[in-house]
Amino acid sequence: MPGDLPRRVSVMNRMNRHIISSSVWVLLGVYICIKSVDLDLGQLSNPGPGFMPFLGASILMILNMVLLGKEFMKQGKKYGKWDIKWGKVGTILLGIILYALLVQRVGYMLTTFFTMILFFRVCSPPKWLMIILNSFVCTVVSYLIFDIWLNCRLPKGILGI
Amino acid sequence: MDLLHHLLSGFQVSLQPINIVYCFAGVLFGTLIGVLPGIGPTGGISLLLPLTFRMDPASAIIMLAGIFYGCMYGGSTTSILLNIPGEAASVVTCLDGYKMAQKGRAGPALGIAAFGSFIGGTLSIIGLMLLTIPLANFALQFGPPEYFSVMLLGLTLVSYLAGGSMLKALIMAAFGLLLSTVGMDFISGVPRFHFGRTELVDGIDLVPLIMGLFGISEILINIEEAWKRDLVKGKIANLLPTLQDWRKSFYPIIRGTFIGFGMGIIPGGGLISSFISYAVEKKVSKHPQEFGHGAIEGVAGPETANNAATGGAFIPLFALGIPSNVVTALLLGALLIHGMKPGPLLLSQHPEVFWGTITSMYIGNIFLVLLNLPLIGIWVKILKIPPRVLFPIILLFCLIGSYSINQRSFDLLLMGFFGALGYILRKLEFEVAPLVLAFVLTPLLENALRQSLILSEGSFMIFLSRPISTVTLGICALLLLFSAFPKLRRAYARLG
Repeated sequence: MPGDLPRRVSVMNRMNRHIISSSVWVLLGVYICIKSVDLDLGQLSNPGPGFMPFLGASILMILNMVLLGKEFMKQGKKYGKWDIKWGKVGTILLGIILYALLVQRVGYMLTTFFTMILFFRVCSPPKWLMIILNSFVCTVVSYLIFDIWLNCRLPKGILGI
Repeated sequence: MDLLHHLLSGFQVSLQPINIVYCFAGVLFGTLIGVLPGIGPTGGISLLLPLTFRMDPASAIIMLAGIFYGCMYGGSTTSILLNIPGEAASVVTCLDGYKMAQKGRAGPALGIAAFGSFIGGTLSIIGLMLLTIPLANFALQFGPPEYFSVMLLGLTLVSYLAGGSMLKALIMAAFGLLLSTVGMDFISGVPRFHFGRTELVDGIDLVPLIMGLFGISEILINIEEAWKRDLVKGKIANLLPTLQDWRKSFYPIIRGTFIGFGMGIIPGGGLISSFISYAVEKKVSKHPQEFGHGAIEGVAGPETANNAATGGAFIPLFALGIPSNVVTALLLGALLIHGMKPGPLLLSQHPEVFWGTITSMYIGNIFLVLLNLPLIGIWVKILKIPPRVLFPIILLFCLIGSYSINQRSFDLLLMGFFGALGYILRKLEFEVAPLVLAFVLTPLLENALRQSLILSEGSFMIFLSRPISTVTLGICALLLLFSAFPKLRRAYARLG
């Protein structure tokens, strides 16, 4: 029917992503305020460790309530589709997490080589020979620069390389 | 005589062979980062900051400062040849620079941008040299209330001048403040918000934060877009501007120097110096209709302004210990990492850092003219490197940079977290620059606030009983009102 939203419009778009994000900020502010009280706010003449976080969280909550008010007044405004390429973004973030978990165990060279294959594959078409070659070159060159020349002490891992 | 003596001692530091190498490396990397769109000086300094940990403080700042003003030079190349700004301050150069290139005048556009940047940069260094010491002496009168107020003004101005919504910029500043409170409270020794992780007891490290927010999130945003680049074709010739070009550009360069230097001192002002210069040149021009169609004044003025702003930006950093933009906030972080406390006492306690940096900036500006003109062919080749090769390399840089600080996997996870967060924040139209500025300033801000309250026995009137603090807070309040008032007026009209 004319005027109906297309079926694939995400929940995020319908509920206004800005309202959701402001609500999250407000909840974060509430949490930090509670925890700051536990840390001890002290007194105004001698502020305690919880004073600054409490102040910051209060400011965060107030500002986001103002933003929430503005967004509610704009209800009816249609926002464009929240275009996120989850595949590419998620793959890169996953690559970083796996790198973090494996680099000290497996070692810099191997972990970097396979992570670079992942990154090059995300960023470019599937020409595997070029991807593997580029990954190899980047790994070796970065090892020479950062470990050998700059002495950054990159991890050797279980294989000793 | 004192000034001459200081300059000579500064040259003794900056002319050491190793510091010449670092200065050259800084301006080379900076130009490269400026030429390559998508990274910017903030991302560039973030990527290269870990390399400076093994240097002595003067060398580290010389190199990082070189990256800063090198980026300003390099940004004009990609603006003129690709119509894509290499960094935010070069946006305006696209308007007329690219048009000049399309008319076959890429050479004079690049040439006047380089010479204008050199003149603006050199004159602003003289201003930096002359103004920092009197300002530092004046700042010796500052107590905790004055420092608190000036830092608050800095945060407010950066938020006010942010590209998007000021409300969202202030939210980011508040969030940056909260992130900075993670870790040990420096007065009571109580750990805050470490969630049982020993890695967080010392707080969140600056490097993973900025690498995530600027490096990783930038890549995540950019891989979504299909990069289209219209590189100007044909050989780039006649890099030396003609006499007529010089005649047209002379006053814009002079005006750009003053505008850039003045705006650079103001927190957040450096970013808009090139815009203001463009607006001024268009206003005073006898042929304003030529602007947007290849007017050389539209390149000369803004490019001079954005380089002159780099000199001005160092004044509050060295004199007061307060950064005026995100880049100088990173330099502040670098100084703190090296055990230096920027501020009026830095000049007396570590004169080699201050004078060494200033004199290295003279040398660096000369390197930049030599790099930008004869090597233009190389920069053009670099512009042709496809993003599919560049992005993984930048990601690798981020991984190594974050890991190499403490050799901890936790820092990599932190960087990934901030990368994801930065990506989401940008999608929600939040600017991350105020977050980083607040993150760096908050330890000093908190210290100043708590000391002020202890001095006044809990009374906030201490901030209003001292003239400098009162004026500064008054300006903050005015900025907030200016930002809110048009909206208040519209909201009132809607209710009526």
